[in-house]
Amino acid sequence: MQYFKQSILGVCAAATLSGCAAYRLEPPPGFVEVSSNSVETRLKAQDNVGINVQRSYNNKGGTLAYWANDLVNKLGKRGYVLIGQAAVETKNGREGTRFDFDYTIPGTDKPKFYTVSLFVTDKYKFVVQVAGDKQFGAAYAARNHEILDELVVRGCKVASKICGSPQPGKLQTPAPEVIPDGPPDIATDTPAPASTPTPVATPVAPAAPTP
Amino acid sequence: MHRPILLFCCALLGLAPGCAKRADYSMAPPAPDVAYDNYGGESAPAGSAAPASPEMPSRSYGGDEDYAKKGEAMREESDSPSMGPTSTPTSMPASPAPPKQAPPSGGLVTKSKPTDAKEGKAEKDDGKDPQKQVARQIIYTAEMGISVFKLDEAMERAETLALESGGYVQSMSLGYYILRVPAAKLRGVMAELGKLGVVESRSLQAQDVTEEFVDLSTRIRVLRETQLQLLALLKQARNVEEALSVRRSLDQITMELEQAMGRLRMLESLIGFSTLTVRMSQRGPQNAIPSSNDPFPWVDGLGVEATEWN
Repeated sequence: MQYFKQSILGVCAAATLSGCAAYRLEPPPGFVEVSSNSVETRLKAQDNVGINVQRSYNNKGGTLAYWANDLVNKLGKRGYVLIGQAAVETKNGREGTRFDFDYTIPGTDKPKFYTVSLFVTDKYKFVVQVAGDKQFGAAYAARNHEILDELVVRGCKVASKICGSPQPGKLQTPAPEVIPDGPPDIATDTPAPASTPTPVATPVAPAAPTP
Repeated sequence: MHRPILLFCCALLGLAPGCAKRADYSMAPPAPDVAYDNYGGESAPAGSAAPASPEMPSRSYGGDEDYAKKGEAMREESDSPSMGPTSTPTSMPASPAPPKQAPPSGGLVTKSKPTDAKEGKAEKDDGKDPQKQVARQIIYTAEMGISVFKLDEAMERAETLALESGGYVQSMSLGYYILRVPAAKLRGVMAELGKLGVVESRSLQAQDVTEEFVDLSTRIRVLRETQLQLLALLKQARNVEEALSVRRSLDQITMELEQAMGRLRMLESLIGFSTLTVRMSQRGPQNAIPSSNDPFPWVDGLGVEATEWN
């Protein structure tokens, strides 16, 4: 009887320690975990391609289609261009949607690839982001299923409608809104004065500037 | 019986404005505020209870030309080097002259013409308009908060903009600038700075210092005249005691004159060069989109910048 009680306690403790994490991602081959906590895990490959898993709470009624629309719309406004969309699955069988984007950081001429996979459960929403230089995009797109095979997400209720919600329709990114606000070409033809001059003693009529 | 009444009447006459000239030559130090203008219809300051003497009449502000001519004349007459109107203060950079151009859009202040006949020559400098016009003197102070992609380059650009506009950098630290730009170019500089990134805050305050400016100008003019009179008295001193007494009064007037001129120069600097405080912050994935009322900002933390490694 004593042995039985101890066994029950041990099983409960093990279940508590291992099974309560909202998600778990084992580093895929070629990646090393840089940091990890309950809401974010970051991994790095030798070619500076990174994986970033983020967990955030789901709002009541938030479905995969709703958040997928929100994600694509907001990223599109930031200058991301959607080039691919596909259904994906985690190691524990949760269905999500993967979006592939092209992106160039404003003010630079280095194209990037950005893949984000979205999973939505009753309690959480998870994104698995993979990003790096555009030249590595094709290779990591082919490895995406390999990465997601290392992911376990939780938060589904029994007979959940959220976890079984349908895939979003074919999405498109809107026109970017932020790109024009990127840093302008700051090169000027007139060289800057070598030092800060003192103001010249010429009369200056105060204008009436308006903000 | 009538003798005390006669004495009393004489005493009253002695206090009348007509006796002010005599009082001036009695070597008593003149009250510094005796010639404060009754500018804008307001009453004179508390220290200006004494009536103005004929030599120090109350006058309206005649503009900088009058100011400069008076200064030149005084410089020629005066032996004291500290009395020059263009003496440069040691604690602040050379300040621009106050505006001489067309009055800004802030409006006009009018002042009634003085009645003293001796001022006729000075009045010619100010034009034939019986209603003198004094441009509004306004100090502009502006602030901007900008989030930029490349902080270093944006800071360099901000400094260049200030210099190109004829201004200068008053102080700086990482992401923080206090720029002094010509008031007329403040709006243009702010517009150019706004192109460096996303303007997250912008403000502009205007402080009308016309009254203080006019008061100071008038005060300086009156102090200068008093100074010249004291110098004349000093030359007429018959003994050491009289000379020392005049000298004390002269020193006091000179000190007050320098204080007023210092304050005027500072006002001129603040009016001519607006103060623009710029705060810059680095833009990243967290603030790639200007803040909005989005109830679900979860996407703001996503993106290439938050994922890849450099």
